[in-house]
Amino acid sequence: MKSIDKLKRLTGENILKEKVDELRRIHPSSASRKTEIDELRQRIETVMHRSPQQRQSQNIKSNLTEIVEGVEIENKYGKFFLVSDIVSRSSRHGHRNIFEAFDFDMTAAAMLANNPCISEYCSSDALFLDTETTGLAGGTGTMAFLIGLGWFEEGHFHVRQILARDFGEERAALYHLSQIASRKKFLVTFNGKAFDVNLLTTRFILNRLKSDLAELPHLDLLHPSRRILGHRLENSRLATLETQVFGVEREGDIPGWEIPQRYFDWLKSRDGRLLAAIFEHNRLDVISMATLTAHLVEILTAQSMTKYANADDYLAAARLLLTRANAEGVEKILNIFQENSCPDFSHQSKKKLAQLYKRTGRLDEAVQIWRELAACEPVEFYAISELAKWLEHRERDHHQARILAENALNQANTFSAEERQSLLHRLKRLNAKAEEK
Amino acid sequence: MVKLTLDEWIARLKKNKSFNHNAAAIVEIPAKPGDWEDYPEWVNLSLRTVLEKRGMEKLYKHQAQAVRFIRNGQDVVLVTPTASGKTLCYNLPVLQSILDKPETRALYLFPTKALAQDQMHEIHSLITDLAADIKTFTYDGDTPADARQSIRKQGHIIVTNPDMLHAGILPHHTKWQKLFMNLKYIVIDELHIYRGIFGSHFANVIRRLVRICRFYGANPVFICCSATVANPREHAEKILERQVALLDKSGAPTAAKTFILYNPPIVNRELGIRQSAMTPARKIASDLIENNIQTIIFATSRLNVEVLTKYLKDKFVKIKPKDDHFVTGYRGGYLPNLRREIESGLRTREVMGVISTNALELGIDIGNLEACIMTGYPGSIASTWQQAGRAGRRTGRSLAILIARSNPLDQYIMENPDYFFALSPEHCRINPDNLLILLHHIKSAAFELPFEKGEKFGRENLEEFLEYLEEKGVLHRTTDRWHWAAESYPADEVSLRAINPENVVVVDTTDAGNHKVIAEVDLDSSFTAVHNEAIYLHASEQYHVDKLDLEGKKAYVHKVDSDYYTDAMTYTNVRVIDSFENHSEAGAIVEHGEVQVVRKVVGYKKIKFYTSENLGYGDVNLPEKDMHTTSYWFTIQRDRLSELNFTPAEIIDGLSALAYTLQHLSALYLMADTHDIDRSLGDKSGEWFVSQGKTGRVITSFNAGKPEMTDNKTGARIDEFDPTIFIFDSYPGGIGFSELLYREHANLLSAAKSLIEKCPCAYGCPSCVGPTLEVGKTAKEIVPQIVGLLIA
Repeated sequence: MKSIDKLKRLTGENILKEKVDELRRIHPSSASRKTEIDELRQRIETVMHRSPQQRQSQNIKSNLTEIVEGVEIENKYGKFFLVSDIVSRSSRHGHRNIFEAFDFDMTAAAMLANNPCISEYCSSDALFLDTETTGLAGGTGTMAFLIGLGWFEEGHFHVRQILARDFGEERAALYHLSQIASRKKFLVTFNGKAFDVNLLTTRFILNRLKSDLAELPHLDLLHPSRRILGHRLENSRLATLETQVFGVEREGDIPGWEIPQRYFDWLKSRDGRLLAAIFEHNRLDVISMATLTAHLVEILTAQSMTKYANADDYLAAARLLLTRANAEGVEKILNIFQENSCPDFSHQSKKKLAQLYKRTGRLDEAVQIWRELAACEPVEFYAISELAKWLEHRERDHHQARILAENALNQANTFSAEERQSLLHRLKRLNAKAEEK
Repeated sequence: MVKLTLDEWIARLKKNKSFNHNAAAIVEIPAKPGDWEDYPEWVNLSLRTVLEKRGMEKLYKHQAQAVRFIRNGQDVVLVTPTASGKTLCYNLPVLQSILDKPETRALYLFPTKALAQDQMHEIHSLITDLAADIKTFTYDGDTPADARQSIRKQGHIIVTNPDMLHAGILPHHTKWQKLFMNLKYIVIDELHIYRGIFGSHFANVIRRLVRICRFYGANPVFICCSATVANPREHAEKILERQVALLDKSGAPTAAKTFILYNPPIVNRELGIRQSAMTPARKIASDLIENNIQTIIFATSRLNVEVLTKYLKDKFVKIKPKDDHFVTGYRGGYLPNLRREIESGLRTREVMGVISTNALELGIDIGNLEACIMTGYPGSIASTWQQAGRAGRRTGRSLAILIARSNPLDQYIMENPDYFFALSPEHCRINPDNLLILLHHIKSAAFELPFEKGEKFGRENLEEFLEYLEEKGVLHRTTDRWHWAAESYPADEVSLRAINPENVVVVDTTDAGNHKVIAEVDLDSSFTAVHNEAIYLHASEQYHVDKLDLEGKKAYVHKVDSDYYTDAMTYTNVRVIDSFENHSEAGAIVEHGEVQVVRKVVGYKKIKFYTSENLGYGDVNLPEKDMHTTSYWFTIQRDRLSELNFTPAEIIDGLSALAYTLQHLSALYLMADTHDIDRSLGDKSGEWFVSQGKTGRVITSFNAGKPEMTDNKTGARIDEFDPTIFIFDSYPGGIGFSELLYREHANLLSAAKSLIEKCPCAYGCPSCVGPTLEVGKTAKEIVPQIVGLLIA
């Protein structure tokens, strides 16, 4: 007996199979392979019907080239499928034109990446990269079957999508990627440090190809996006960001979790319709990364207060610059607020602004906000304690500090027991100092 | 009270008449001088200086030999006793190579995390003294995520365990490029641990490791260390699938040891019942501990550890009312922190008595204990010496006492002390080509690297497996390769150690507001350990199981103070599926092949603490468990049996008794745990089988698919079936025991006959055919007659 039959008996499959065989004897028409293909076809049809514009008549398999405009390319490692697209300078992506994303400030981009090398390049040196993979499990068994790339060239945005139509095309596809990458100076991704570049590096090794991808300076947008925009997002996925920050609404977008199974189905059926939505999804991701880069750079450089950035974005950006020790940048952002003193700021934002003023040595402005906050009932500990500290240590006006603390304790306030204790302690010290005199 | 030293204590014991009467053997193992050799010339001068400063002026002969072999690129297996400087055999050549060429990498594999940590400390202190830039790291589940990257790139020596290699390293081998490209040595310590199921998995992990090394162009040297087993070289060669050199002559000096085999007295000659091994164990242990002699007591099961711990705690609670750790239990189910605490307590002598399962058998550093008591034969000679070795690893005289239980295995040792002291007849067995195990690892291997057409992996036809997996949709074939084409991570689907990686957690609900997880039990044991109404013993506390929730994988318990514990009763029904080989021998048809085993827990007994009195029964309603495995069996024609001058009921008792003896002797032949193999008496179709009920033997026969249960005395449909004795592997797919037993058929039967005839009991006892109450009064008489029919 074949070992596989023994194995099936161990796993209990044979019992099932016997039943199926028995059924087949009764209905001899259904050969197993055919049933399997039919089931698959049916699944494809249900998937397709969800996106009406791609609806086609039943049971007609579509070649890839009929669905996606692309060509087969051959290099020394074999063949693969390449889709090229130029997003012209006047195309819109959400609320902005593509040309507005061009020529972003490289010093700011370097700040975002926390990698000073990048400041020496220009925006057309950037290679935007996003992959679609056979899973999220990580490890050597996951393949990037579609590699989406983008770059600025002569005012337009170029998109290249490299598809390995089968595992056998991966090597040629990766080689093509490495050729394009060798002409670029730095990478821009969204979560590429933890995922895409890691995974591609693994695949280069498995295919015995050299790759400098991991060595390229790398701006991973995930981290700065979280820092600057995270406060107003429900999650940090690129699609969420697009919608909530720059108004891109994707129609019929394929959910990410569906992508691996679609590719596995494609491997079996070679029905191009399965891949169409993946190409579009990937293309939008690549373009979004370009506009997102420009957007983050604008906030960081305090370019203008557009309706798509809010005050808290700027405050978060200023804090980011502060950790990168870029006093000039922080100054620039803070100057926006000076011009219009932001009366509509929330308490929280005012606090953040005051902290920034304090940390950059602009105490007068900080004090102004603290006073403003201290005048609002119920009073919060932050403003009172900062003001008291300032009065006591800077102004050396112990009298005023005492009055402030005393009043605050008697006023309507939001103090916790600890905060109360700390104020009482301060008061005691101030009283002692007063007696010394 | 004047405290005795160990020497005084032993001298006193030897004068004790009743003890001497029951001692089957008292053997003085003399100290043995060492055999030394100079360091080879090529040894790095500073490395040599560091070793000399530690008192190693010269190498032991076996060390020098090993180092020479390894240096020449020869794969080796070292078999030398505990504390014979095994670790230096690999540390020296590894460190030397790294000093010669800093890119060199080495991988150390230890079966447990604790051992890995232990080794880590040792090599680390060597390197510190050496003041060389050699980085050693443990890499296991506890390694912090932020440290992992630098470990992968910079670690010269990576110390890990097979589970981590399987699920954490191999599936991410590209991140370990630097290690694999420069991998020169792979050290596998405690090789004998990798036998049975674990060993079969492990051999496949090694296949995968070698495959990955080949991808990176590395061809590392394997250095294996093993405890004394009969077939170290064969075992190593089966795991590594290559030739290895065997080094088994130790040059290390050894200290003196007194080794005593103690057989508890027969307390009921009629029933052949001996005093429980627990009783002398308890008495000897408390006497030793009272004399300030630090003692380790090994028990053969989780339950016995808990029972003994309770007894000894009760005893010392008066002297040390507040010291919870003066005597303590130690076993797998305890949480890691508690175990570390106990280990360090042993080193500092705050813990004077520890009662352990074989968890402490391996080389975890617990310092030098003075005495070791084994409550029951640990199942193999190798384990016995390992356990005995936990007392007196380096200095002075030590004591080891093996106390026999009333089972055939233990009694066989007591009857044949020479066998025990002179021989090492045990073999390590693995079956890396168990189809289920192999399939798991083919999946994992495909995830790691696509399979090429014509590639080999295991001894089965690989292409058949690949096509099967393609059909299942997890592999995708291009012209000449099979690629992993699924979203899952196959290494997570299998645990190397357990039949079933699923666990049941035990939740203590004593404090209603604060439910606590106190332990984990693997799913298979949960049926017998934490069924409803069971008494679960943990850390010498008793818990009543209120509910076993199989779906939620939880057992809810609350603390109780009961005077009994519970012991589950199961029935086993076996049906032949496929016979691989058969022959007629005297009056029986002997076969081996594949069987289906159905098991069910039907009830439990309540057993009183201290007296072991049976207090009653309860029912358990749990689903049946179904397993396909391999078995050896033989069938006796019913008319041959009718020639014997006994009633059918007596014949059934006799056959059950023979099955009992054969199972225990099989374990002895196979170096298997008695739990790794099981027995059943029935017929080949599974239509009729015998099991132990509440009050006696029960015969179940199926009538039109419905089971009918009858007391043996009425002997239902006894003349309609040809009785068959099955001895089978307790693991789905089998571990390769049954074919071996098939070949040993005649030897097994003769051994059974001689064991029974030599046994001094009157009517049969647990030492030969099983307890009289279970097997009936005529069993001892009838079994030799049955065997007489079966051997020519």
